[in-house]
Amino acid sequence: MVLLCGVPNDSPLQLLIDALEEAEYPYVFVNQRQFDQMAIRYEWVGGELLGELTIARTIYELQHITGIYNRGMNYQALPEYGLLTPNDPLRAHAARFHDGLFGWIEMANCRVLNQGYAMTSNSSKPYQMLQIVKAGFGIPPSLITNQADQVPHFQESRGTLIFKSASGVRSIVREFADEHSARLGQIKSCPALFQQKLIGTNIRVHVVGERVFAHRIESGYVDYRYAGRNGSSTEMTAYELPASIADRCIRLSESLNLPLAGIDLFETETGEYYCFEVNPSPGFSYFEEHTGQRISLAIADYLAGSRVDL
Amino acid sequence: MFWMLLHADDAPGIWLYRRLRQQGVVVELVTVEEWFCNGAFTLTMDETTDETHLRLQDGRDWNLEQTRAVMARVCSMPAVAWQLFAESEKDYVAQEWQAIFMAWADLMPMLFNQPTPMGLSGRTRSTGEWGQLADSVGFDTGPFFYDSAVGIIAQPDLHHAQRVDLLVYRGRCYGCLGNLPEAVEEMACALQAASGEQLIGVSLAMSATGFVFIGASTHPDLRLGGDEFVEAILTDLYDGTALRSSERLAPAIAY
Repeated sequence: MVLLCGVPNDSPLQLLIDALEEAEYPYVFVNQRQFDQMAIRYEWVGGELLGELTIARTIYELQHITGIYNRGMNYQALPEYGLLTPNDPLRAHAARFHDGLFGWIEMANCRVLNQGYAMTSNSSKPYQMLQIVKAGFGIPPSLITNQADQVPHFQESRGTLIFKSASGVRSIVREFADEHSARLGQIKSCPALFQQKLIGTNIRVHVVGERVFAHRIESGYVDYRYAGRNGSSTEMTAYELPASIADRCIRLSESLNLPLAGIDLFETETGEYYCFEVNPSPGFSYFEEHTGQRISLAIADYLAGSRVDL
Repeated sequence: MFWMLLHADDAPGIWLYRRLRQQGVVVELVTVEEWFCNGAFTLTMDETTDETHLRLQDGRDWNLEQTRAVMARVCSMPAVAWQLFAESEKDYVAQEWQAIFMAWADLMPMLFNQPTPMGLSGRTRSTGEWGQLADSVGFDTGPFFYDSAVGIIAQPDLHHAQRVDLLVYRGRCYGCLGNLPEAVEEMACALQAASGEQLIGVSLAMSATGFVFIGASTHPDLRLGGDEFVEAILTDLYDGTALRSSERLAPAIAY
């Protein structure tokens, strides 16, 4: 039995439910919005973690779960939680249930996409870049500083720059232009991340266990996710990576303890591959819908502990 | 140059700093608050070279290339560093600095407990996760359960039992070991290795049936190790084998 955790209007989760039903894999969906109808308990018995999850009076044995798809969100952001009065006992229940659920996911002895501790690696882009280099990928030359005078020097040696946040917050990539030079003084209190702008093509790779799905992205805007918003467009096609690069993607995911990963690669005009970052909870539905690659089915297979020919 | 990065109220860390100074070791002490309220910060990286320069408010410079070893015990981000920011900006600024600190610390030749996405000086684990790891190396972890109806993690009822706290550093136990069985010491060392950290604290309770694991930490009380532990730190500082740098420094003192 596969366990899904999240909220129902989440596109990747919906695609996965479709894939699980298509493959006839049994699953249970922990719809966080219905936390008031759920309970979890578990214990150590002879070195094994045993227990049960109750959803609206139906009991599921935790030891029968073969895989977990974790798209869990902060329960305090759930609309149903927000509507509770400060003294409503359901507030405490929501906290206890989610503490227990996420605590169990970290310890569960089954396939998990992905465990919470591993998913936090992209809360620091520069930290993740260091891990990317260790895995054998190139990274764009980068500067993090709170010294405005460092930026023109870096620009002089690296040409056109992009800038973005170092954490996962407000993570929109922008090209560094003259209008931004005038505001460089603001980095004194909070540094910014500057990178050399590379010329070439974005490639998004999804790793699912040992399987790799690549998509080539042509876009007229520096951050293709926001091309439409900025009057540009994006075209996406399925793409076959060189075997050595695909293998490197798998090794990178393994090194970050992320059996499911969305890897942002970049192929330069000279055929070199760079890696920008690794998304630990990728919104693969966007890519699957554009290229037809069955990432959702690969995830279903992985979580069910089996594999079918696609 | 040797550096220590500690919270201002980290008494065990300051104890280690003082013991090292008393042994004649030149160690620069920087508080976590000083780090985050720095005067200038630069980090450059590509696939072949990383460089970083930090200028503290008191004028001291902390460069990667001149750093031989760092002993850091950073539990959390100091709120003092962004208290002057608007409420709407505080979270953003804090997350940016945390992201930057993680990369900076990952580059430094840490003597123990590298930064991880789940802890700035070693990975933070829940009681259950430590229990699971302890169980995997052979410890008796006693009864353990979680129930969302009551929301507690039950642990062995050992309030009246004698407690034994150990410091485990790079495969060796320090502390009042007394008559601690060798097998228990070995399990504690195995737990340290399995945790991926170089330094942990392990708490045990003596029950009628033997030693029961009750907890572990990546921020142990270093004083537990006494001067035997200080000596182990000195050996690693001057031997160089525990450092990323292959360069060996001549001992500043004989000890």
